[in-house]
Amino acid sequence: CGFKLRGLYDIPESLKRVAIDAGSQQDSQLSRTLEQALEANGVVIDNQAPYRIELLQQGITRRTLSLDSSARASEYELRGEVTFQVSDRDGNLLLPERTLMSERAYNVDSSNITASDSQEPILRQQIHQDLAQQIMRQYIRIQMP
Amino acid sequence: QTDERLWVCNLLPNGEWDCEVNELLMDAQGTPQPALTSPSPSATTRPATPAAAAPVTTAPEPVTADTPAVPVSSEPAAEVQTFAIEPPADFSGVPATPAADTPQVSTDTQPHTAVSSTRARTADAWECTAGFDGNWSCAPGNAQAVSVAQLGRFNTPTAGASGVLLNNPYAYLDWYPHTGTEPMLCKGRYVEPEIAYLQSEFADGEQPIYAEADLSSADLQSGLARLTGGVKIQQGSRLFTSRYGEVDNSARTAFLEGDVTFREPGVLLVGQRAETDFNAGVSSFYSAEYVMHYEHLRGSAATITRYDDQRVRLESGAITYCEPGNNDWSIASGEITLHPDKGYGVAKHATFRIADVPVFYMPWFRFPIDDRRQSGFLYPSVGASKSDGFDFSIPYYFNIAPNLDDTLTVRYIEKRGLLLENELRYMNSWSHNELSLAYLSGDDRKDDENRWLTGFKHSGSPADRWTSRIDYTRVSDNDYFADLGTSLEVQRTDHLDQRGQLRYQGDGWNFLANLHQYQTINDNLSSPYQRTPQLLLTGNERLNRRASVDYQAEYVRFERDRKDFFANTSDIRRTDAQRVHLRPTFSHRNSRPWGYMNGALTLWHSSYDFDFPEGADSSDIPSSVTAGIASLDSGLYFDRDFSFSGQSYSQSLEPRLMLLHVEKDNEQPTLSQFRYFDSSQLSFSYNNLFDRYGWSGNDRVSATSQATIGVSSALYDDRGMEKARIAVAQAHYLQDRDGNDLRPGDISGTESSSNLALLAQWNITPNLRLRHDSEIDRDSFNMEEQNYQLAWRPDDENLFYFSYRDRVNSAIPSRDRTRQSDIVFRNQINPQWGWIGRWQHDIANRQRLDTLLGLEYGTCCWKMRLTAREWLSSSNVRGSEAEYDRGVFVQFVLRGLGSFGGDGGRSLIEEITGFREKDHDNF
Amino acid sequence: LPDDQDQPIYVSADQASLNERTGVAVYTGAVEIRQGSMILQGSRVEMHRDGQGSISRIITTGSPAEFQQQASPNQPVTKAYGLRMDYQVPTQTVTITENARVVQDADEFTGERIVYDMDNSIVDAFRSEAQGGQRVQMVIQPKANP
Repeated sequence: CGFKLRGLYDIPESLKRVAIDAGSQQDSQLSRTLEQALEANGVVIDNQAPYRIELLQQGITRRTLSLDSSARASEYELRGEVTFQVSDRDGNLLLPERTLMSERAYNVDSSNITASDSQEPILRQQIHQDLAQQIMRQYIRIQMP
Repeated sequence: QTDERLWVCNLLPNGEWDCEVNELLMDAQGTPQPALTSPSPSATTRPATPAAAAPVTTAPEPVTADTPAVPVSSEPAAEVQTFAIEPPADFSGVPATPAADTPQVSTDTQPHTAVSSTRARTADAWECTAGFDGNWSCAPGNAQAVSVAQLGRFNTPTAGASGVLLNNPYAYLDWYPHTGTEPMLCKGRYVEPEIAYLQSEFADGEQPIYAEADLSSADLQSGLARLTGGVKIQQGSRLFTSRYGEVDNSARTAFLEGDVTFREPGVLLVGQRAETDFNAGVSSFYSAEYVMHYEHLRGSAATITRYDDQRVRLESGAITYCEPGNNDWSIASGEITLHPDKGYGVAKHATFRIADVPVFYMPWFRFPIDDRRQSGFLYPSVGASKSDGFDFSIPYYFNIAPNLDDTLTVRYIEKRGLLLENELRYMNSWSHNELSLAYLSGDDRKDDENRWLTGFKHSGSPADRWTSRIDYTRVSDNDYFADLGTSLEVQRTDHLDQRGQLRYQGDGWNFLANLHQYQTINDNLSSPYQRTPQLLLTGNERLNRRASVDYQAEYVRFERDRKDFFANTSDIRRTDAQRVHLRPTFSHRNSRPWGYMNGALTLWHSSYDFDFPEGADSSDIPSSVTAGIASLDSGLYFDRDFSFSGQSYSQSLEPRLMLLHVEKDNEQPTLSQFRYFDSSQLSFSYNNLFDRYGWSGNDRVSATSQATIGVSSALYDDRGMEKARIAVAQAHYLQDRDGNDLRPGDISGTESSSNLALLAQWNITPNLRLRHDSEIDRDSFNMEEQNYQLAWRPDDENLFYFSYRDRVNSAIPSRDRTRQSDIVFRNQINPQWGWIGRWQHDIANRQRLDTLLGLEYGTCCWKMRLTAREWLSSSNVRGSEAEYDRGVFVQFVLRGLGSFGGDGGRSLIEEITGFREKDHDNF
Repeated sequence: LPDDQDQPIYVSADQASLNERTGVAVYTGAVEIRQGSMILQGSRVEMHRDGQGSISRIITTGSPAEFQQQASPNQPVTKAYGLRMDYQVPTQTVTITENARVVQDADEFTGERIVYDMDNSIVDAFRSEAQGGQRVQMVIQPKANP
């Protein structure tokens, strides 16, 4: 039905090297996950590269998703959000500013939140993986102007 | 037919006219040139008291083209070198010489009746003008002979939109209606005309004064000059205009009258009369109005005085942020002093008026002009409740330094006493700190107990590669928040974090030292395990391009607050322990564009030094657990491109297979014996089925031998943006799992395969997103659990959010099922009216959880929000059920002054939907 | 100065011509007329005499013509410039037209037409009749604060 094994994307030569600029959160988990995702698709991370992926805003917030019968949190939702753009050294945009979101929910035992909260690192990694994949896919599809 | 009109006139912002003449039409019709004459402004004597000044007759506002004066017959002059006409006989030749005694100029000096200013159209451009004194003087025309009188453009600065000005009554305040069609909150805006201010490094006071007028009469002895007609006086960045003015050159003062305007960058003053002293830089305006364009602030007063240090004082006047013509609210006061450079104003003996009705009196009121941080009183809040009686609080903000400020709130609660709350914020180059303190001595309603709260938050990086975080909150007793609530920035959960962390980031590894205690303020809950302390080392070592070793080594001392309600000493769940956990992983990644195969071997080891409560049956609880984990995660990527309704898409198909084998040396304690310190069973989802451990934390791991199969397909548009994704996964087990360490989705652990985990996402439009995940029974294919989330957010002001969750809480032993729906909407009907609503419903127990309805009405300078809310709140008291709280909240937002009153849960809406609501306090 | 009128008038010019019939004397070429503290300079001067032969009117033109006078001993000198100056001796007024400019102690008046009343040292300035023409302008220099 028309599916064929994915070949290497013919990424434009000048996009083969890219820098990642995450401002104050330079070595955040999302930046490192994005580096791995790009490297897995033949893109080299190089801070002197002519183009850079700017992670303008990134963060994960937590909120109560559902309550139990005594109105205590029974489920939390982690919402990851990243706003990014791709630009060259002197700031003209290759990819306009876009915002991506990814959510994960987890169950909570309000009598032992030490255990419930330990699920967060696992879900944070899943969220970062998800966001990194989406950024990578949009980056490699950039058509040079 | 616009082109038929002879001329088109627009009234300009500063009251002058901008006329365009239709030249072609003019010549074609050959009508006599309308000679614009400016009727003579009779100079007035300098009135002793302003009131007695004879009204200055000047050209009426819109200059009407008078009927053309009969042109003097100008026969072409012969080539005569000198050509003088003797003055007409009847003229006495000597105009009445003004009485020279008093400096007063005679009331009727040389009436300026320029009979006609027609230039004789002569060949060699002789120019003969009839002088006022009846003498004719002809002189050779200057080089560029002025062509026949041309109705040109007055040389006044033109600004602002044209056309619609005619019915704009507030053009004199620089206020122009929007010409756009779509409705706006404000019907217009202040437009400051571009004025060429004279930049110079000298202060305004020392700069030369430039004056301009139609007519001036200066007495060189006294230095007094009288200016009439379109008077403009400019010094540095100050510009005065009026119809009439007197400039005293020696005293360097000026008196202006008739449509007086004063302009400075960002400021406009309009009045009937004004006096200014150029040396002292003080100008006073009588029956004047004041506008600060950017701040959208205006004021009117009997007298407005502007001092050299930019201070502006309004005597018996009023100020408001409302647009001209709208006096919804204003602050009237005997004396208002504005300090634009410092960003605030002070009103003494002020009355706050709503629609010109005085509402309350304030002896002294300080208000911000711009958004700079200012020390000063913040807005008080008043409340009353039958339990606590009258409740009044007034905060004061100390702007100590750019990186240091403090807010002290004095709160008087009638039936409890005086509560002081203080919040100190301090920032330095490497850290950000907040200290919150509250103290109530002798709470009358709690048998005179002292009640207090301390909170400290810190985050920073003390040294290179080191980061530190502290988040500590402690209250005097469990009911502190329930009884007193707080205005401080502290968390209000059942378990108050008391946490300190220090982290070192090495190259490829990092070390964390963490101390984490809780204060549980809910009698119905036992306090969670505390990490006193936790030392964690994690790292990653790359062996080569594909192979790497990840390691995790942790020491934790778990303690639990033993005074909890299950105080019977022998309850096993009051076990404390020290634990060492090691988890080295060797992984080999092999990825190609078309697929990947990642193998990983992990040694998972936890050993405990238990501290069982006396008499607890802890005989067969192993002191250590070791597990070996081997996994092979592989997947392929297939793509196909297709186009649909003109759009090109690409669809991916990603099958995935993970083989997992986990061997454990020891039985884990049974659930009834002993549960765990920091491990929780992962909930059932597509991603968690591929998790290698099945549990979070370091206490438990599922011994299993299984294969998880998944297939995922995503739809991307031509820019690579994910439009939709659907994924389903199932685990197939080759052996049973131990009852204590079930895999996600396991009930008994003997199932041969898990249910199907379905995940679906669809970005219908960039603003409309649908999320679904569910657990589908492997046999009956009906949905065990199903969750839906629909979020529609066209812009900042409108949103619709729907969530339906039908699921089992796998984290708690009772595994009770909850079915809840949550609907949230925010709709801005038009720039004025907006409403928000939330309806969270517990379908299983047929019970409302949170119901909120809010209405918002806004005008150009104030907003009002009425919010009614009923919500189920958990109770702190032991054994009592949750009960409903109800509240009606009213909030006012006054443009420029900030908001009063509770926001009634609006911030909750932001928290619910995660969408940061538009800054609802701006206009 | 107040007694300027009684001072003799000195005239220097390149050429001079007298029109017997009208009694108008015309001087051309770097003309300078002095009377006491008053000085009139221009490229062409017409001097008119009244019935009794005393000078009634002096019309000076130049590019620009100049006029200078000290109203009183303690007053600074007043200077005036303009393309054309019409000095009415009986009324002691000078009408300066086209780019008229009067300067006194760094303060300056400009306008299309300025009438300087020498007796009362009053300067009246008028804008040009044509629209968009030159308006009356004054410049008052900053003075050391008294």
